[in-house]
Amino acid sequence: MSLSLRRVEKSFGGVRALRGVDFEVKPGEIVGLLGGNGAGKSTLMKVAAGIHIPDAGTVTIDGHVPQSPADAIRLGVSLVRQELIQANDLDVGSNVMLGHEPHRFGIIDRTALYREATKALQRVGGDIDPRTPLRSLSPGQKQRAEIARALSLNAKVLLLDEPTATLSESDAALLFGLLHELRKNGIAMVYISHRLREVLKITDRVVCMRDGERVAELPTAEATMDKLVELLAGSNNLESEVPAPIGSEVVLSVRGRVSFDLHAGEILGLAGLVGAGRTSVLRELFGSRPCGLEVSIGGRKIKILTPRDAMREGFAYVPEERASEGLILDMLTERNIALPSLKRFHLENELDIARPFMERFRIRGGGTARMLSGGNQQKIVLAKWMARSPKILLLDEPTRGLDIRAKRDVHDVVRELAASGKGVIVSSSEAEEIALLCHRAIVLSGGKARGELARHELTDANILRFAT
Amino acid sequence: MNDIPMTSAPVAIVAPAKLTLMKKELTMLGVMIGLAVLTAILNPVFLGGDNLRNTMRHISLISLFALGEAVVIIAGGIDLSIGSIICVSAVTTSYLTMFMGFGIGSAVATAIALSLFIGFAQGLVITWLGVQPFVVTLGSMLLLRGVAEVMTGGTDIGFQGKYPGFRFLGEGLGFGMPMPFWFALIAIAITAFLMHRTLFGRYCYAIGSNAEAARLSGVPVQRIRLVTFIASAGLSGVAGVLYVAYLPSATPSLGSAYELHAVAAAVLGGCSLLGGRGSVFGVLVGAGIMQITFNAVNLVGKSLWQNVVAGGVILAAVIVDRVFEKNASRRRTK
Repeated sequence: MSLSLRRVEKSFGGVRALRGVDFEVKPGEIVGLLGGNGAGKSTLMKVAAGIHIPDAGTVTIDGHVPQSPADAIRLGVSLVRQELIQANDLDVGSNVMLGHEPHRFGIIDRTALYREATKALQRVGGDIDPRTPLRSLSPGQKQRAEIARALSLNAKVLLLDEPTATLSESDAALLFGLLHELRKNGIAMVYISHRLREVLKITDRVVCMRDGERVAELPTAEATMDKLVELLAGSNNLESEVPAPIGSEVVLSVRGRVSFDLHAGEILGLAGLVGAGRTSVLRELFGSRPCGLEVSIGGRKIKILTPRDAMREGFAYVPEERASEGLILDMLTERNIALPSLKRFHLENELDIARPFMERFRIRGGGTARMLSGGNQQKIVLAKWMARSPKILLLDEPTRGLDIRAKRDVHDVVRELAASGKGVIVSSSEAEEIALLCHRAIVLSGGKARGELARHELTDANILRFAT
Repeated sequence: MNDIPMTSAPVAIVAPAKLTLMKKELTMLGVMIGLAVLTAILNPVFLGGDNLRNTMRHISLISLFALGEAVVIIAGGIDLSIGSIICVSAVTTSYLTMFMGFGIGSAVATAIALSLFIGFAQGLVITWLGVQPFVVTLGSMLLLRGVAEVMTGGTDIGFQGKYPGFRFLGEGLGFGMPMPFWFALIAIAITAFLMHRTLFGRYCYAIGSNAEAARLSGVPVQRIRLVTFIASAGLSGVAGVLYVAYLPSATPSLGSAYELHAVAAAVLGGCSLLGGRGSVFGVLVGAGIMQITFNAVNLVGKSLWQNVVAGGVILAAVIVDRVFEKNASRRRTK
C-alpha cells in the first residue's frame, strides 16, 4: 500500500499552484511536508485525497487512480483536515461513523454503530466515550476522533494538515504518541507543519516545497533546524525598503501577556505561526472580543468594550477574513468604503466620502464588492478605514492570498500610513512579510509574547526560532 | 479627511447603478399590472369605483404592516407576531372604550403604546439574550393571540354605532381616497426616507448582509435590530387600530396569518429572507399583488379558492423571477 504522485501540475485561474511535483509515501513511514504559505503543500494533499484532479501528472494509490474524494477514501487515503468540519451537535460515535453508519434499510443499527466507533476510538487512545457530544471535546480529542474516523474507514495513508495548529502542548504530545503507534502498525502518514521542531522529532523523511515545486528532500536524521530554515526561506529578492524613522510620541501602550509601546510612525509586527494568538490580540484591542489586555492611549487608561469604543479612540481594524468580516460583499463599493465614516442621521453623500480613496487606489465603483478581485477587495477594506483618518491601524494578515503586485501595493500603503504618523500593527504568519515591513516585531506562540526582534534581527530564521 | 497623497491620476467613477438593482421590483410591478388587467377582463366589476376603492383600502392596510415586516427582514430578522399584534391592538381599542370607559383617543393611544412595548420586549429578548427572532416572535404570536381571545371572551366587541369620527378613519374617504390610504402614504414616506436616505436604513442593509462585518465597521448592530422590531410592532399596532375602525368591531381571529401575508409581500417585493435585500417600493408592489389576487378570486366567485390562488401566485412569481435570474447570470458568464 503506497501513495505516489508523479509530475503533478495544478493551476487555479492562471496561478500555478503545483509545477510538476513528485511525492511518495510508503507504509510505516512519516514524511514531513514543509513550505511557506502558498508553497502548494495543502494543494498537493488535496490532489492526493482526490479533492482536486491534477491538470497533468498522475496520482496512484496501490496502482489505482482515484477520481473523487470517495474513491481516494475507498482506496485508503484519508485527509485529516486543517479546519475540522464536524457535526458539533452529534455525539462522538455518530461523527466517527458519519457517512458509513451500519444500517439496515436505512435504519441505523445503533448497537453496531457504537461498537464500531468504540473500536476505532480505542486505537487512538481510548479516553473518549463515543456517547459524549462532540462539542464537549478538547481540540486534541476532536482531532483524535477525526483520526479514529479515518481508521474506521480503513485508512492506510493519513494526510495530516497542520495537525497541531490548534492543540495544547499536552494534546500535541498525545498525538505524537499516537502517530508513533500507527507507524508501528504500518500506516503511512504525511505530516504538514510549520513547526520545525515537531517535524524534526516525528518524521522519517522531509520534503520541502517552494512556489509549487519540490526543492529538497532529505532523511530527517540529516536535517537540522538551521538547514530547514535555510531551505524554506530560499533567496529573498522581493522589495526591500528602509521604513521611515519612528516618531517619539507613544500612541498606544499595551500591557499583559503581550506588552509594547507603539510609537507614531512605527510599524510593529506580530509574528508567529497560525494559531499563535496574533488575531486574538488585534481583536481584543478592537473590542470585538473581551479584552484581557491593559490598554492606554496617550498615558490614559482606556476600556474597550465594543468596536465602536475602539473606533472612537482612533483604532481601525483590517480583519484576516476580508470577505466575511471586512466587507459587505453585496453592498456597493462606495457604500462599503463610506460605512464606518457615516455620522449624520440623514445620509451624507457616500460617493463624496469614497471618491478620494477610490481614485487613490484606482478602484472602480458602481458594482458590489463581490465582483472585485481579492487584491481590490483588500484595497476597499484599507480605504474604508483610511477615510476615518485613524491613529492606530491593526492589520491582520493584510496580504494573505494576494499576488505579488497586490501585495506590494498593500505594503506601500502601510508604509505611507506609517510615514504620515500613524501607529501600525501588522500581524502575519509570513516571516518574510514581517521582515520586509516592520521596524520591530514581537513573536507570539501559545497566545503569549516569546521574544522581540529589532529590525536588523528580523530574519525568517530568528522568527521561526521563537515561534516554534 | 484625506491625508494620503494622491499618487495616481484620477479615474472616472461610475455612478451607482440604481436601475439594475431595481430590476426585481420592476419585474414584480409587471406581474401586478398583468394580474390587474387579467382580473379586469375576467370581471369588469374590478374597475368599478367601489371595488377599486376597497382594494386600495386593503392594499394600504397590508402595506402598513408589510413595511414593518420588510424592515425587520432587511435587517436579517423575521417577525411572526404581526397578525397577533394587529388583533391585540384592535381588541385593546374596543375593549377599553366599551368596557373600561376610556375615551376613543386614549384607547387608541394605549393600543399603539402597548404594541410598541410588545415590539420593544421582543427586541430585547432577541438582542440581549440572543434568542432567534423566529422563536421569540412565534412564541408571542401564540401568546398574544391567546390574550386577545381571553379579553374578548371569544366573541366580537363592536362599537355599536358609537364613535362615527373614529370609524371614519377606517371606512371613510378623504380627497376621494379611503382614509387608510393616507395613513399608509405617511408610513410609506417615512419608511422610504428612513430606509433609503438615513444612517438607520444603511445600517439595516449592512446588518442583514453581514452582521459581523457591520459590527467590525462600528455599526451598533443590536440597537438597530431592536429598533426594527419596535417599528414593525408599532406599524402593526396602527394597522390594528385602522382595522377596528373599519370593521367596526374587534374579533379574536382578526389578523390571523397576516404575518405570513406580510412575509409574502416582502419576498414578492424583492426582499431576501437572508436579509440585506429589498426596497420599500418592492414591498408596496408585493402588497398590491397579494391584495389584487384575493380580490380577483372573490370577483370570479370562487372565494374558497382564495388561498390556493394566492399561494400559487407567490410560488409562480418567485419561480419566474429565479428562472430569469439564472438565465441572466448564465448570459453574463458566457
